[in-house]
Order: sequence, then structure tokens, then C-alpha cells
Amino acid sequence: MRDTTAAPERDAGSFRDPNGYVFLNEGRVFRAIMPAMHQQFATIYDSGIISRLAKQGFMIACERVDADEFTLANYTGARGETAAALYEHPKVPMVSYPYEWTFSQLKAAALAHLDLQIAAFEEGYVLSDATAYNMQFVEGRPIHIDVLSIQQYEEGKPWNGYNQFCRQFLLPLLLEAWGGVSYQAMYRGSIDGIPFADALSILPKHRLFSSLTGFLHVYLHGRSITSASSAKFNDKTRKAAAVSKSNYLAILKQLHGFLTDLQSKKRSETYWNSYASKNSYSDDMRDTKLHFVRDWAAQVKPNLIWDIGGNTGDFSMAAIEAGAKSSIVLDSDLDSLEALFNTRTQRGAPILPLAMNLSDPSSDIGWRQSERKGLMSRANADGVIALAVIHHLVIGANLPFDEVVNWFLDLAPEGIIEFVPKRDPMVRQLLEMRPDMFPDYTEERFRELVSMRKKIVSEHVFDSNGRLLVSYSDH
Amino acid sequence: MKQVAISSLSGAILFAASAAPALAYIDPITGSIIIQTIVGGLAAGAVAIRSVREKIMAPFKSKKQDDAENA
Repeated sequence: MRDTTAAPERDAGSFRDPNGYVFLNEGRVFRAIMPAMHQQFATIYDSGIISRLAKQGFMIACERVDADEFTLANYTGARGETAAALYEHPKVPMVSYPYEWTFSQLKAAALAHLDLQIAAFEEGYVLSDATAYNMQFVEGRPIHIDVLSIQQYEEGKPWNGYNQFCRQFLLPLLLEAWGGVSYQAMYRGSIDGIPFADALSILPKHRLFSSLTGFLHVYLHGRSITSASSAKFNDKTRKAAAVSKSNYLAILKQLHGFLTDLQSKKRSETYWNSYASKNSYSDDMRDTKLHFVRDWAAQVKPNLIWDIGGNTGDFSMAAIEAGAKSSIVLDSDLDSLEALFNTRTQRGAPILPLAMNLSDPSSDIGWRQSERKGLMSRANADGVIALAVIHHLVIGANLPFDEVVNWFLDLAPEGIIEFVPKRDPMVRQLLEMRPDMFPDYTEERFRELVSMRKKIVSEHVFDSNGRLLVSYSDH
Repeated sequence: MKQVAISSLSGAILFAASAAPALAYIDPITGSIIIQTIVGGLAAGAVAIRSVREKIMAPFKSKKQDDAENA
């Protein structure tokens, strides 16, 4: 391996397992294995199970690095010990978290997790945990990124990740499917997943007793957590708690079958979902916008776009067709993102939908507030498109105009912003029930704000009310 | 299989009837481990029933598909 003078930067979310850590080094992702786990992991790696699971699309690829002592000395563990081996993984383009996923995304991640577990189990391996944070979307598919979770199965041992799987996958999905409750805000406030006590209170009782999954995995499981006492858990009960091989597999398969059929409670058509047909612009104007985005993408060829308030991803798709490589659509409307994930991402479009309230984006949370990163700590776009979203943030959410524009400009070196003036019917509607406290919300001020930081490359006023498209660049 | 399912089911009913919140501190994982003896047996029963049902329904399903394709 090439020696490097740059100090490896340890991933702040990689600390729960003292036997290995993920480090970033000059844009590459390494996993350092500590001496205590070295032999055990080497045996698993040499068995070929990891590469077989990676080929099946269940697990991230993992290659052993030919590291010398000098290089290994750069990678130290929690107790100051020197790493025993290094492995390299491909970089996940955008790390995202379960509270940023829609129902279909979390369901896809749950099923992929079970697929992985079933495939591994049939070869005599299990996963040591079932945290949803180990699932990451790569090219639209959820894959498991923690190779250190793989362990040899020991006959009779119960499923260690059962509690985690239920709290981090099953319960949030049931909140939406059975309770009609969007779980994202609750999940974000409860990093380890939805507590059983809350789920038991929220979920309809008839569901818990009329479905095997409701009865077993929610009711009985939930009651076992609140009623079992540590005094009852001794050698005798531990022996009695043995789970046979066939029953272990049956739990995984039963959950898989149940989740495959699980559907979100149908919501009524929302305002945003039909936004394209209700908005104040015509098909001609829509085509003009599509053209503008295509021209920009063909010229800039961005690697990754952040599409702010991107709805069902129509303009991201146009940019990708014109030369952009991939896009992340950030929007708070779950129905639009569901449509986007099911009709585009699942069919191979390189677009990752993320549920995000733009006036309160994901923040740094967890241990030392660095375990799960906020949105801005993950900023990695080289192009941003913010189409017809500025008025929602400034007038709808009452955010300072200058700050909103500067926030867009901070996100990437290049981009497009659509300015929607006050005389536009959409803005007039927003202003109808409130006093106009936005004297500086003008086209002139908008141009001024962009020009102070960037060079305006092209602009286009595309309707009689003065909607304005501006593309800008650092250069 | 049938015996396992029946004993799991009676275990589940007994557990559901007797479980009362305890105040003692408990690592939440402990309950999740113990309950798997009951959950595992019933899940195995459910998976077996599902696979029998799929076997019975298979000829009808493929007939339906044929009909749909011929329609």
C-alpha cells in the first residue's frame, strides 16, 4: 500500500465495535481490524463468504490491503493498540439514515437485511446485530456495509439482532402501515429505533391480536421486554432459551414473508403529489425549465446534484439524461418521494430520495453529537438545483431571504436557482393570509445576492409574472 | 412440527396471561432472547403453513397466469 503522510480520519459513527474501525484516508475507505479480532475475521474473510455476499448484492465489497508495519501504525484502536490488518471498501456516495427514508426505502432496507441474513445463515453465518444504520443505499439498492458483523453461527444461539431489527425496521414500518403515522420525526428523536412501549400504545389493538406478526413480534416481544427481570435470567433459563436452527431460520423467513406483503396505509392525494398539475405554470413553461436544466447539466456534467425541494425528481431526471451522473432529491413530502423511489430509483435511475424538512434539516446527533451526521456535514454535491422552492422557504417558512440564497450557494460550486416573484399566483396565495413582511424579496436583491458570491452564467425570465431561472458558477 | 407449534402456542398464551410489568432493571435484549423460544416455534408453524398454502395454490396461480397470457 502507498504510504501517505495524511493522518487517517476515523469515522465518528464507527465506535461501537472495539474490534475494528472505519477510517477515511485521502477519499478512500479503510477498515482497520484490531488484534483481538484479527484471526477470527481473517478466517471469515478467507472462507469467501464476504465476497459471495457482495456478489449477490447483499454486502459491501471488501478487499484485504497489503499493508506494511509503518502503514498499520497509523491506524490505532480505542486502547492505543496498532491495527493488525487493513481492508478497503468502496466509498458509499452519500451516507443516509433510516429517519431520512420513506416507507418503501425502509421496507427495501429491511428486506435486504433479511435476504442477507438468510443467505449467510444457509452458509453457517449470522450477523451480530441488526442496526438499520448499517444499511446504505448504493446505486438505488440497500446494502449492508459492516463486514465485521458477520460471525460463525453456533447451534442453539438465539438471534442477537432480534430486538434491534424490530425497533429499527419493523416497528417504524408498522407505525405507518397500521397506524398511518409517519415515523421519520419520531425515529430521528430516538436514534436506537422506536421504543416498544410507544409502538404498543400507538398501534391499533386489533392489529396486534389479529396478525401473527403483531402478536409475536410486537405484543409478546414488547411485553417480554417490560416484564422479564434480570433475576430470572440464569444458566437454567439461558439453556432453555436455546433456539433451534430451524426456528432461527423460520423467524427470519416469517418476517420476510410478512414485510414483503406490507403496504403503507394509503394516504389521500396530497397537495404536492399533484403539484405538477396544480401549479401556476403551463406545459410550455415546464418545457422551458426542463430545457434550462438540461443545458446546464450538459455543460457542467455534475457528478452529484442536490435537488432541493425536488418533489418526484422530474428535473433531476432531466439533468441525468443530459449528463449529470447522480442526484439526491431532498424534500419533505413523503408521497412524492415514495413515487420517486418506486418509479425511478427502483428501476435503476441514480436518484436517492431523502425525506428532509428543509427549514429543519437533519442535525448532528448521537454520541458526542457526531455519531450520525447532519445534512450540512454530508454536503458533497458539485451541482445544486433549487427550482421553485425559494418562496416556500422565505415566505412560507419565514426564513431570511439572504440566508436562504446563501445556503443554496454554499451547497455546491455550481447550480440553478429559480426565483419566484411576489406577483406569481403561488406567492400571492402564500401572502393571502399574512402581512407582507418581505420588502427585500425582489428580483433585484436576488440577482445582487447571487452576484456577490458567484458568477451568473445564464438567466432566463420565462413567464409574464417574472419567474426567473439563474445558473451560476464559481468560475 | 405440530407439537412444537402447539407447545409454543400454549407458552405464548401463558406468557401473555402472566406477563406483568416488573420494576427490576433489565437489559431490553434479555426479554428479546427469552421470547425467541416461543416466537421461533410459532414462526416455524407459520412458515410451514405458508409453504403448504403456496404448494396448494401453485397450480391455480400458474393457470391464472396462463389465462392472463392467453387473454
